[in-house]
Amino acid sequence: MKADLLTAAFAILAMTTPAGAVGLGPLSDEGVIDGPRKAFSLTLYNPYEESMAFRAYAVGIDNDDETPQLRVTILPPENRLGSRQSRRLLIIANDLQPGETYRFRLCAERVNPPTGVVINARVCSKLTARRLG
Amino acid sequence: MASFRLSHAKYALIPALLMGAGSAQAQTVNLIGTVVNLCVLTISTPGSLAISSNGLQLSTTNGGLPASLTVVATGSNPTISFSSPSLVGPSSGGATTEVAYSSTGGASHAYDSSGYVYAMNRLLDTVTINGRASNSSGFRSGVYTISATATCSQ
Repeated sequence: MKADLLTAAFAILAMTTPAGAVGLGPLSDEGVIDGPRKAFSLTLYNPYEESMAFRAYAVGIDNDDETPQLRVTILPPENRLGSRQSRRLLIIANDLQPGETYRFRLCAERVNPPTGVVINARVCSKLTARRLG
Repeated sequence: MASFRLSHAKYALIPALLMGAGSAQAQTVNLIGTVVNLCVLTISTPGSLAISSNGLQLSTTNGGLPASLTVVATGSNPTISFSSPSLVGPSSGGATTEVAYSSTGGASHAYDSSGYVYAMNRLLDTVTINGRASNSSGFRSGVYTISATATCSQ
């Protein structure tokens, strides 16, 4: 066991892999529509010094609600961005019922978070779509 | 000689033209920009774990290194939500995993196995993150990772 522990002391991690980072904005947006679909535009930003792939996905509105929101379409859901580059994401809330207010979070993070890193960074925007009754 | 006189005449005209233009055509110059509320999270230091001399604790303080999370926000003060930490590795079962947070901007959270919500009161801050995992049975050799998710939102 002691040998294992000593081995562990050396095997355990100099975590020098690239760090996690992402930028997204605006952090909130809302809109009213008279039809079943409402679109939003968000900006995804790569703060890395190198090209990096990011993914965007929709979850519940509460901070601890990670339920996937299947009514939300994201174009494109995955992006590879050059260093310090940004691009627009088109977010569409579908199947809005008359008079309905639909709220959800749109989150972005790296496609492959580095292993060994203590913190996985992500940014979420809170979006509200309301259809007129 | 003729050329010399002509040059002087030209220079004499310049101030008069400038004065005339200034008084008759005053213009307002507007430089306009929009600040969108955007949040950029960067793990400026990934952090590392090292094992204690008795082999019962993995920590960022026993020769390891804390992680640093830099937050750059524009537009409005964001909230950073840290999920409960988890330990992945050969002896993760039975271990207690805790994380502590601090920053010059006011983040303060002692070692705890639960999550933490930091409501920022400024647009820029750097959060220092320390982690530790304790196991009374010790840790087998291998790679261990304490992980948590930091979410920037409003």
